[in-house]
Amino acid sequence: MAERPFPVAAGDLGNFEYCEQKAVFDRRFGNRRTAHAAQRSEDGVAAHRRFENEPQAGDRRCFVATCVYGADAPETELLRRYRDNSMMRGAWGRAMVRVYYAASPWLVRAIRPFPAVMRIARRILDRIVARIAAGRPSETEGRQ
Amino acid sequence: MMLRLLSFLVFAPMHLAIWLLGGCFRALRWLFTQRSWLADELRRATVWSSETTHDGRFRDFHLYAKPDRVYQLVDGRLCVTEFKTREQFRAYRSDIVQISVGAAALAARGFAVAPYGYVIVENAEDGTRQCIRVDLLHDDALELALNRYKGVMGGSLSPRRAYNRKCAQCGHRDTCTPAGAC
Repeated sequence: MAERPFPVAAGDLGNFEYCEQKAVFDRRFGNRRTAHAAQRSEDGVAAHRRFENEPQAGDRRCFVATCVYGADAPETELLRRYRDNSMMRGAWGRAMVRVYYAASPWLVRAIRPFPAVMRIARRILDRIVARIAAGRPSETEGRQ
Repeated sequence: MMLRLLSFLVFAPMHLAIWLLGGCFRALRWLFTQRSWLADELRRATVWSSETTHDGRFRDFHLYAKPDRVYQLVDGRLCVTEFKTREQFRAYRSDIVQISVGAAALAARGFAVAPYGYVIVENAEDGTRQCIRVDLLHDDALELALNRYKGVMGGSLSPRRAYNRKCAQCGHRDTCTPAGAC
């Protein structure tokens, strides 16, 4: 009978390369950290979160639209394409996208528990999507 | 229900205003700094995935990776990047190994992957960034690293110790460090 493949996570192997003894101790005693290391870790997590929320052309994330329509809905894809093809071309458009990315994760958390607010958001987004679709018929085509 | 709605109507605009102000500030800063640090080919690339777990079979191992960003280059190949906050702009072997595992997991799923990746280092003090290109491990070198990991974690090989200045910040230093070693 064939042996099952040994599972390895990239982060674990990276930590192991850094210090093998620490990796073994982490597994045996748990990930003990000094106060300084814990603070550095928290700072790193916050920086990661900022980095993760930064938009870029071709970025597939669209928080509010994803929450309202779903990640792979045609409306979400249309809004992504509008962001990439129109808004990200100009400095002000990029700034607006940046503001949107700063506010939208919070906005999504705030509106998700309220179906009535979600319906209003959907109605607003429907109108935006309709205007974009009317102005740019090619935007409705899916991403290749 | 009414109370929740009322509190939402009162606090939501206030929170939103604060977020938007912060967003405006960050937007202006971003306008002047964003992308100047990004490698040329990544500027032309598109973000293919972000903080997404990829897995795949590599020889006797099943690899799991959650790269910070995977870019799709203009030529269609995927390029794995990792984001790090550090005091110095440099990449370590541990970064290369981590990115190599991500690339191997993607390659195992049949994607064309670039033989290099990037470590995006953010200075912990001033927030400036640099994008450092690194060559990935060859398959045989990656397999060696994986076999050693398996041996050490399984107890058949003895672990090596790092003995560097980071030992002073390690939570296991009392258990690990022999008297006077660091």
